Amino acid sequence: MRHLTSIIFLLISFFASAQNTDCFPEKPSREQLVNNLSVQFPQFLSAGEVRKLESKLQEFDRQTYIQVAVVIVDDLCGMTANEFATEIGEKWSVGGIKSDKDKKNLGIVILIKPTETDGGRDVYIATGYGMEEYVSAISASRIVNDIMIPNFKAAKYFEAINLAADKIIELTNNPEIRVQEEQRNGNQEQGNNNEKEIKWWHILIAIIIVILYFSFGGRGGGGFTMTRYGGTSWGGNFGGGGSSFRGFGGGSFGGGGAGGKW
Amino acid sequence: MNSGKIIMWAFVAFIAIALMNGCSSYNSMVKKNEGVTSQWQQVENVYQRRMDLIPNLVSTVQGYADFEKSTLEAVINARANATKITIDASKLDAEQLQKFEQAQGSLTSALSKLMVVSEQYPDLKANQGFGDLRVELSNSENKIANERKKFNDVVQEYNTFIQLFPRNIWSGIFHFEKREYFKMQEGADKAPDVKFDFNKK
Repeated sequence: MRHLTSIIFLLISFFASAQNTDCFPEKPSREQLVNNLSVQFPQFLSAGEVRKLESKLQEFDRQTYIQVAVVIVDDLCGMTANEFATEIGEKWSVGGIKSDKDKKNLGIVILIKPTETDGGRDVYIATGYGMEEYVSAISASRIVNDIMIPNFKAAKYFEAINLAADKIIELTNNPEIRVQEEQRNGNQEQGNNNEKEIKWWHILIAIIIVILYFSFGGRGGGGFTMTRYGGTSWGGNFGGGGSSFRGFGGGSFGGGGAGGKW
Repeated sequence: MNSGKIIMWAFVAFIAIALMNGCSSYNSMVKKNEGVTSQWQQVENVYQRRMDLIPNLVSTVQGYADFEKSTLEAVINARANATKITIDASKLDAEQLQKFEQAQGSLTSALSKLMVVSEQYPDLKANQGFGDLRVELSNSENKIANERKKFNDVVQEYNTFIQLFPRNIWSGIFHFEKREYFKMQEGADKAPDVKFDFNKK
C-alpha cells in the first residue's frame, strides 16, 4: 500500500513537472549569457547590443569565473520574480566552471520581464551562493532601483543592462577574489556517518560478499555497477559557433537578490 | 552439470546479487540521509540570518517615538521564543519540526505585521536604513522559502528512495526511517510582502 501511494505520488509529481516545463524555459542548446526569450519583444536589444553585451560578459567570465546571465522573458509562469530568477540560475546552473570539482557558485541572473501581463514589468537580480558576499541584496536593490528602472522608464534598455553589468563588475573587482566555498552541502560528503553504527553482522555480510565475489571470479559482479548519486552537472561546453564561452555549469542559487517593477 | 547443481548456483547467485544490492542501497541511503541533515542546517542558517536582522530593525524603529509599542514587542518576544528552540538535525521528528515551525511562524507574522504598520509612518519609510532593512528582510524571507523548498525536495527524494522495492527491505533492516517534511501552510512560506495582485492564477 505504501508503495502504491509513493508510486502515485511520483506519477503526480511527474505530471506536475511536465506541465510546468511548457512554460519554464529550458537551458538554451546554444549556451550564451544574453538570452532574449521574449516573443513579444524580440528587439528588446538589437543584435549589435546583444553582441556587445555578450562579449563583455564573456570576457568577465573568462577572467573571474563569474557569469552574469541576462534573461528576458514574457511570462513568469505564475512564480514570483525571485522564484523565477532563482530557478533559472539553479536549472541552468549559471556560474563559471573550472572543473567538475571546482564549482564556485559565482553566478548572477538578471531577469527582465518587459510585458505588462501578470502583475506588471519586472526586473530582478538573483545572486548565486558565492556571489552573495559581493552583490548583497541591498546592492542588488540599488542597481535595480537606481540604475536599471530609471533607464528602463526612459526606454534605454541597453544602457540599463550595460550599466548594471558595469556596476556588478565593479562590485566584484576585488584583487583577491577568494571565495569561501559556500556550505551548500548537497553534493559534499560529510565525514560523520557514525550515527549508523557498523554491527558485527554487517561485517559478516561483507565477508560473505567478498567470498562470493571471488568464487564467481569477478564475472558475476558485472551487473552491479554502483549507481552514483551526486549533483547533476551540465559540465559540457557547447562552445561551437566561434564563441569561446565555456558554458554554464558551476552555479547554485539560494534565493538571494532583489528586484523591482517599472 | 546436473540440475541440482544449477539450482544451487542460481540460488547462490541470487543471494550474491541481493547482498550487493543491499550494500549499494545502504550507502546511498546513508548519503541521502546526510543530505537531508545538511540541508536542514542550511534551513537553520537562513532562519538565523533573519533573526540577526532583528536587533537592527528594532533599534531603527525605536527611534520613532510614536511607533506602535505592541507591534514591536511582539517581534521582540517572538524572536526570544525562536532562539530558545534547539533542534537535533539528525533526528528531526514531527514534534521538533512543529515546535520550530510554530516559533518561526509567529516571528514571521509578527514581522509582517510590523511591515504593514510601518506603512503608516512616512518618516520611517523614507529612512534609508529602514529601506535597507526591508530589502534585507525580504531577501531573508526569499532565502527561507528557497531553502525550505530544497529541504522538502531532498526529503521527498530520500523518502521515495528508501520506500521503493527492493530498497524498502534494506531500509527496514538498517532502520532507515522516513523523514519529516515541512508542512506547507497556505501562504506561510511566502515573503511578508504585501501584494495586491489578483491576476495570479
